Amino acid sequence: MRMFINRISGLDLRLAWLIMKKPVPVPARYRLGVLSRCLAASLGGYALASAASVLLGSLLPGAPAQAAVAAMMLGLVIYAAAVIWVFACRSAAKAWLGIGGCALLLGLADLALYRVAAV
Amino acid sequence: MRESFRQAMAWLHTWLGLTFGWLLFAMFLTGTLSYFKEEITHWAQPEVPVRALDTRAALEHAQAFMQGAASGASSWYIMPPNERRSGLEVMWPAPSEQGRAFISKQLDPATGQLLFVRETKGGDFFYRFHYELELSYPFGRWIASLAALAMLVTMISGIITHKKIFKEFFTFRPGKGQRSWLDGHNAVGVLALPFHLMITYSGLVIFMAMLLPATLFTVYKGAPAKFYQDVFPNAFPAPAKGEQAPMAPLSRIYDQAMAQWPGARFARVEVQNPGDRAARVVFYRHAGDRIAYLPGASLAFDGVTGQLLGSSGVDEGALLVGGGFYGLHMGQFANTAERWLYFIFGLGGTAMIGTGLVLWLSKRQLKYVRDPKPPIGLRWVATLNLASMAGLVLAVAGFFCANRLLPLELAGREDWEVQIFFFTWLAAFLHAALRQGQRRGWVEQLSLAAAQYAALPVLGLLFTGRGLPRAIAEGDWATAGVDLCALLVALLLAWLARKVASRATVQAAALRPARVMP
Repeated sequence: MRMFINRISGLDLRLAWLIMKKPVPVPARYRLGVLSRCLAASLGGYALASAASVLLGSLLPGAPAQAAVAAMMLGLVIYAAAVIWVFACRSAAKAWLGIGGCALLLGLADLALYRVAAV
Repeated sequence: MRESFRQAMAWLHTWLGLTFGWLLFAMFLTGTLSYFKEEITHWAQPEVPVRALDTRAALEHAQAFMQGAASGASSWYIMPPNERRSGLEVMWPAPSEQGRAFISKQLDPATGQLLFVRETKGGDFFYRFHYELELSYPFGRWIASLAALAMLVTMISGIITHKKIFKEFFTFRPGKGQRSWLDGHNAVGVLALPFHLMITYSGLVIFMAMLLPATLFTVYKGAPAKFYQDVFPNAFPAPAKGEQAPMAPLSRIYDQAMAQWPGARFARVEVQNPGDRAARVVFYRHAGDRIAYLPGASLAFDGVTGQLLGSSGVDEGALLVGGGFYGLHMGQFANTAERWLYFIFGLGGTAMIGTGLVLWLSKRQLKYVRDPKPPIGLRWVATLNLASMAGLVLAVAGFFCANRLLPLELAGREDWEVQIFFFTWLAAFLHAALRQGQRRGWVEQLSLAAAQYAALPVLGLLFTGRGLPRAIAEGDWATAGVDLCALLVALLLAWLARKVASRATVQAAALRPARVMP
């Protein structure tokens, strides 16, 4: 629990601030952490969802239109799941590592498959 | 489940909900109105007469009109009347010097005569606003999609936060301030939870090709346009031959289309290269003929011989699932009862967002009940809550009033309607800032909105030939329905204003002795 307060302490800090009626300065570190998570969720999550969707599109069987539509619909679910995961993570750094790592791996797989298909 | 995980989700629900709540409230309210898009448009164009439905005759009239008015156009678009649209609309590409994409005219479906119809966006304004926000392509759609994603995540995190979701659903503690808002928020949230999840996810599915362009790009090896050729094969006309040829009558082609798809309705008839030997006629099936929308479901005919060239519409696999989400979102299939259900659920979603916004504020305002100057952040949220909710309701009323009051000959009339909507909203925002989002501001905006909605049927009676009594007598339930709903909304808003006002006096009375104490 203590660890959690250190992690996402905005709610608790704000509550303390409400009770004491004196603004408790929110540490810059915390603000940066929230900003970093927002970026990881929106941009990182998008990169991950897009890369996963591309991979699914090239792997799913059936006509191209069918594979593409299935892949895009799943990509949207992956985006939402990625956002949840970023904010459930222990730290912003870990969130970036997870999202960035997955996106990178998927992106590389996409590139490799695209190359193979182009040959 | 880990307690910290739930707390992290509560944090996400709170702050993501606050950040996007104001925009989502507007998207949900205007989207909900869009379930009655055709009815609102019908109400907004009292010049369009209600005729007995005869698609065949309407197509004959449209063809005769277009042969005179748009003989040189590269394509014609004919929107025949149906149960919810009384007008016969024809469109063709505008000459490039006119600065707009299409010329659109309304015809009397029974006589084919050109109608003088007031320029208005009608229900289409709310429909387009709810996903484009009146911003240029693609910015509005991207912002709306981002908000939809935030909505999806806010809902998932909200479900995780409320572990005792069904127990809480049956808890309602009225008249207990912040507690009641929480209970109300949970109740409207859970009551139609499948609807809320469906409507949000399907909203994203509709724009998925725009949102994830890389998928189409790679699946189609760098030529994503081929996707549209696969799904909408009939939308790509062959080049004109440059040889004149008389066209087959559209009524005869319509008979063939009906023989092909018995009982079908057609939303749009597209004539490609009219008057040319390569002319082609495409009948697009009405999306409301079934629940799952079938992208590109259409019949193509040779425009000269009238022979069936082929049908399209992939009715299986992922396209069917995607079309299912599309169809569920649009609700075109809905009959009157189902349409009202959509409307009520949409209002429930709007209320879920609204109660969430109020809840955020009232929870934090508790600490400042006796403080004449709460922190600036709370005052801003209070201002934005007032402007985004009561202010929007007021702006919608302004749009409706503008439809009845603006001179019919005014140049750019339909843009004026939209501008009045935004000016009203802006004025409501300034007023909300002046009142710092306090109860008095709510009472004033809600009262003014109530007066405006109550005025709508009166304005209709005075300035149109189709007032409420006549609409009821003629069984024109679209016109009567909008007017009656306006009256109902006026009553509801007046009741709300009274309720907020009585609370305000109670609160002021409670505050007074506190002030004199040292």
